[in-house]
Amino acid sequence: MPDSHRPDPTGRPGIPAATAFAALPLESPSRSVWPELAQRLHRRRRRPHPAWLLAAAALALVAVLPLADRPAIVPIDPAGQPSVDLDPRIAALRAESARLEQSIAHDEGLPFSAPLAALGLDIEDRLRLIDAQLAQPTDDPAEQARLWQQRITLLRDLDHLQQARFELASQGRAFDAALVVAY
Amino acid sequence: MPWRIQIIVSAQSAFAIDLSDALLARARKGEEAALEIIYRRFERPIYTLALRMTGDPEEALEVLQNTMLRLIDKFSDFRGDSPFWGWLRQIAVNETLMRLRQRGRLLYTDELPEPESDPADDRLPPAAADGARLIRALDRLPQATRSVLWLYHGEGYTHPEIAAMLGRTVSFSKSQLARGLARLRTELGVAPTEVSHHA
Repeated sequence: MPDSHRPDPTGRPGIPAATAFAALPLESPSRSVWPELAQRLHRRRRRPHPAWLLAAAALALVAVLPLADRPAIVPIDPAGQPSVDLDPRIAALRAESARLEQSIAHDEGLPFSAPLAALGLDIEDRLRLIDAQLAQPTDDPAEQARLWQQRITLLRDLDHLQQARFELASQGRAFDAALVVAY
Repeated sequence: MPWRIQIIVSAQSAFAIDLSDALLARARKGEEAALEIIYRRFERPIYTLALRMTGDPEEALEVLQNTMLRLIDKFSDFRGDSPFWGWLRQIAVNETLMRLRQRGRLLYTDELPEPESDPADDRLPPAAADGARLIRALDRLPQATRSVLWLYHGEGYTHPEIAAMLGRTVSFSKSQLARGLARLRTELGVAPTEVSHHA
C-alpha cells in the first residue's frame, strides 16, 4: 500500500490524494451490459462443437477400445441389476447410471454409421461384462462402488458418442466423413 | 485562518468485495445466475476504474464488457490463492491499459525525467474535497499521467507494479506521479508549493 494511504502523522494541512480519490463516488454506467453478456453466454452454449472436435473425441474412444467382432446392439436393462445394497454411495452411483441410460435411450432414431456402431458395440460389450460382475453376490461395497463407477464411465463415453452423432446429424454431416476430415 | 480538513474514508479499493467460495464455484462452472451476481457486485468498481483512467464513458462501458467476457473465459485460471477481487481488478486494469495503448494514448515522449516527489508530499488542496471539481481536474491530465495517478493513489498499486504493467521503469512511474500531483494541484487552483506552505 502506498504511504499516501496512511494519515499524515505531522498533521499537515491538505488532503492526501488517496483520501480524496477514495472519497469520490463510484460511477454507474449509463446502461447495464449484462443482457449482452448473457446473450453471448447463451450463444456459446448453443454453438455446436466443430466436426473435427467431435471426430477427435470419437477417435480417442477408438484408441482406448479394442475393436473385435460383436453381436448386434442389445439395450441395457437397468432393472436387471441386483438391488441388494443400501449403501448411499452405491445408491448415488446407481442413480447416476440410470440417469445416463435414460439420456442415451432418448437418442434413438439418429443415423448410425458403421464406425459409430462399432464403437458403440465395444462400449456395450464392456458394459455387459461389468453387469455380469455386478450380478455376482458380494459383501464388498468398495468393489461394488468401483464397478458402478466403471459402468458410469462407460455410459458417459456412450453418451458422448451419441451426442457427437446427434450434433453431426444436426449439421447434416456424416460421422464417417468427419473421421476422414480428422485424418 | 489556515485550513485543515480531515476526511476519514476507507482507503481500500472499491474492488475489495469478498465473495463466498460457493458462489465462485458456481460461477467457475459457468452458471449464469452466479456470473450475474458477480457482474452486479463489480459493475461499478470496474466501470469507475475504466472511466477514471480513460475519461470516456463509452470506452469505460467497453472495458466493463470486455473485462466480464475475459473473466468468463478465464475463470478456470483463477486458482483461489489470492482474493478474487484482486484478480478481477487486474483483468480490468489490463483491459483498460490495452485499450489506451491501442488508441495510442499511452505514448510517452522522451522528456527528461522530472524529479521524483517526496512520498509524503502527496497532499492536495482542500478544493479536492469537492468531488466534481477533482474529477474535472483529473480529466484535464494526460491519460498516462492520470492512469499512474489513479493506479497509485486510487487503487494502491506500488511503483514496481505500475512500471511492470506499463512496461516502463519504476523511475518513470514515480516521475509521472510527481507530475500528476503537481498538475492536479495547479488544476485545482493551487500552486504546487502552496499546500506545503500552510504547514
